[in-house]
Order: sequence, then structure tokens, then C-alpha cells
Amino acid sequence: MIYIFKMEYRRCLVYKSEVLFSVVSSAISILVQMALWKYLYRDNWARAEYMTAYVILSVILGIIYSNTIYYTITEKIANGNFALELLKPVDFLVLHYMRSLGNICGQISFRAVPISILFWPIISKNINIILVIKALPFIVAGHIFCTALFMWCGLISFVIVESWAIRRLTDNTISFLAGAVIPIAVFPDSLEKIVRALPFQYLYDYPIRIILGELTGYEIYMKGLISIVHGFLVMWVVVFVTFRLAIRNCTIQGG
Amino acid sequence: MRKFFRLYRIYTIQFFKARAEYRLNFWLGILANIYSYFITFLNYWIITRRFENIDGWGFADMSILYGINLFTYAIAGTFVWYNAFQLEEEIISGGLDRYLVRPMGVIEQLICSRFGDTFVGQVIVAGIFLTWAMFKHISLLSIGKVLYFFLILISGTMLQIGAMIVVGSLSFWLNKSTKIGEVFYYEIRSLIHYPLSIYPVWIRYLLTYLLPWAFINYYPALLLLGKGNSVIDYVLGGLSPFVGVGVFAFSIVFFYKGLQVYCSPGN
Repeated sequence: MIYIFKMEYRRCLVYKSEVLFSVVSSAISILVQMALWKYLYRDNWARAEYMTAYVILSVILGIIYSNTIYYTITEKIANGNFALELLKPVDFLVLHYMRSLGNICGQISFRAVPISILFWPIISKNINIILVIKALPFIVAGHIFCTALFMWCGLISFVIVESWAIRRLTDNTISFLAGAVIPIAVFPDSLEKIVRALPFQYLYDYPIRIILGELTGYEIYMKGLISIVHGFLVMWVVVFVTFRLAIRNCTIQGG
Repeated sequence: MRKFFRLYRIYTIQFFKARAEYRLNFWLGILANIYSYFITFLNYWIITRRFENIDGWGFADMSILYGINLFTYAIAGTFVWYNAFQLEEEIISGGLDRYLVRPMGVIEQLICSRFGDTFVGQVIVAGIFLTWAMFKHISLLSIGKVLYFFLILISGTMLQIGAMIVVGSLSFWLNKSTKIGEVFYYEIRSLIHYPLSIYPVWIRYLLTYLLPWAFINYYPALLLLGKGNSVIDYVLGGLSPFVGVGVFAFSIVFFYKGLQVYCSPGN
């Protein structure tokens, strides 16, 4: 398993120009959002700096919650190679998770870290390491939740040949409801009440607010953590059931 | 030209016959795009509801600004996104060779090779919001402005098609051009999702004189909504149709220049 992880990690650096352009691409998208929030909060500089740090952390979390596993699973199902992987002495889902994890760690090393360095003067003003460690359980739980969710989207390829639409619907829903693009606090009150009742806020909004020191209080922290852990446990049960059903009902015609 | 459109119609009908075999995928794809871009408009609504406007641009104004960009991008994508924009795949696999031996222009064949059905969702959602926003501003519109609006949709589409062809054509020299296209086309073009007045002045110069993405929606919107701050804004708005045609013409020349240096990898 560790070799699969290492292989995928090293594969991230095969096309160095792609790594460079990915960093530049992320940097430009951050700068666009930064310009918008700096303009909107031009009369409140502290808030503008908060929002700037929010945008940067959101992009970094987006890398950790990557949907790579969807692509690896869908590709294998679409070309039938999943049948060969079922013959291997490793679990299909664990195998793909290790591939995805290698890719995510590669993206963190070669994209998230350069972005953090690039924008360090901005984020260093607003965060401290203790709060980052405090938010880590949410980030790990969020990663596991997203992995399970996108794994399920990939397994849907057994039913729908091109499941990119399901992945896209999921991606956009998470981004919106989790506060990845706009903080949930900016939402209108009625919409904010609905979004706060859903578990997606624990993916972006909660950990970013913890890191930026806005969310304090042991009870709120534990309530959020229990909710996201509950979420990913439910999601993993759904994934296992879907996978078992898919394997039971699929027909491998050979070739 | 008439022959090309007749052939394009035949190819598109065949394409839809093939897609009809996977009806659920087809409709899901359109729904996914409608949902995705509806969320974007919803984000604008949330921001303008909270902050009233973005530098004087309310939700209806932002719908026109973003709607023109999205509509022209979607129409352009139906023609060239899957083929000319992703030309690197054809070049790397050697698939471009088959287009060279047929009695039809290469760009025409690329356009006919695939209809961008997934962009239909974007056309629908952009069309709905544009129509709503234009009705909201009906008091500002004259016959001339309505005609100008349709003209800039056409020229904006031509500009976007031209940009996609240029990005794809870079593959003739670089082999892989999609990542460059992502930076210079998608990321830098995302600056025009908001009024350029919120950015530093050099951004405006970049998007006017170097990468003319501002002529897709910003300057035309200034003219349509009467939001220009100076004569130059209205002049640039008036020049937008010409810039669109110019970029399109340049892209065709650029493509065929690239084709001259093309060296097939075989297949």
C-alpha cells in the first residue's frame, strides 16, 4: 500500500510545468477573490484581512478535500479494469484510497505549500499554530467525509456510464453549503438557518473559523466534531453497501 | 459557408442520435451545468443582498455582466471546446492526421467532430438571467441598444471561440497547452466576473490591451447600462464588436500558422 501511495505522490511531479501552472492558477483565483472582498470591506480593514485569510485557507482546504478518488474509480469502471483490480490481494476501495491519498499529499506538497508560502505575509497575521492543531480533527474528518462522498459518486458509474454530472452536482453543493466561496455568515438569515442545520458547514466554515480564532467554546467545538464524525460514518456505510451491491450485480463479460 | 452549415447540421443530428442512447447521462449533464451556474448567480445575489451593490452594480447589473460572459462562453463551447480547445489530445494521439486528408478545412472538421451538448445547460441558465435582467432595465433600452446587445452576444461568442482556438493552437508548438489555457483563459478571464473598477488600474489595462477579455462583457455592459465614467469607456464599448471579429480572425490565422509547423507523431 505504501508503494502505491509513494508512486502516486511522485507522479504529481512528473509534469513540472503542470505543477507550476496549477500554483499560478490557484494564486490568480485567490487574488480575484481577495480583490473582491477587499473592495466590499474597504471601510473595515480588519474584516477585509479576515476575508483574505478565509479565501486562502478555503483554497488550501479544497486541495485536501480533493475529488481525485472519483476519477480513479470511474476510469477503472468505465474501461472494465476494475475486474482485474478485484483479483488483486488488496481491497478495491483501500487501493483507490491510497492512490487518492498519494495524489492529495502530492498536491499539498507541490501546490498547497507554495500557495501558503506565497501568501504567508497575509495568513501569518491571522492564524497561529495552536488553532491550526485545534482545527485538524475537523480537517481530517472532512477529508474522510469527502473521500467517502466522492467514492460513492465514482461507484455510481456502475449505474450511470458518465457520472461526472453527479460529481459536479456534489462538488457545487459542497462548495456552496460549506461556505467555501462565501462564508455562511454572509448568507441571508433564512438561508443561513437552513445551511447551519446541514453537516457541510463542518468542512470549510467551521475549521476556517477555528483557525482564524472566531470559533471558541468547548461545547460548540465538540458538537461540530461529533456531527462531522457522524456524517462520515454514515457516508462510509453508504459506500460499503453501494460497493457490495455493485459487485454483486455487475456482470463481467471478459475480453 | 452554406455547405459547412449544412454539414454541421447533419453531424449534429448524428451526434444527438448517438447521445440518445445514453439519455440519462445527457439530461444529467445539462442539469448539472444548470445547477452549477445557478449557484454562481445565487452567490452574486447573496453578495448584492448583503452589500447592496458591487461598486454600483446591483444584482440585475451583475446578471447582465456575468450573463453575457457565460452565454458567449457557452455558445463558443458548443462549437469548439471539445475539439479545438483540447487540440493537444488530437495532436499527441496523432488523430489530427485524419483531418488533414479530408476535403474540408481542418477547423470546420474539428467543429463538426463534436457538438458541446453539455454547454446547453449554461446557455439556458445564462439566457434566463439575461432575459430577466434586461427586462429589469427595460427603461434604459432603446432599439439601438437592443440591436447592440445582440451584436455583442455574437461578437463576444466570436471572441471566446477565437480565444479557445488560440489556446488549442498553442499545442502545435508546446504539445500540452491546456494548463496554459487554464491560466490565461479561465483564471484571468475570471477577473471579468466582477466590474473591473474594483481592481487596480493595471488589471484594466491587462484586460483591455493585452488579453482583451474585457471586450466580452465589461465594456459592452458599460455602454448598455450607461455606467461609463468617461468617453473612452463608451468608445471601447463601441469597439467591442470589432475586437471580437478581430480576435476570431487572428485565431484562424494563428491556427493555420501552427498547422504549418505541425509534425505528426503517427498513430
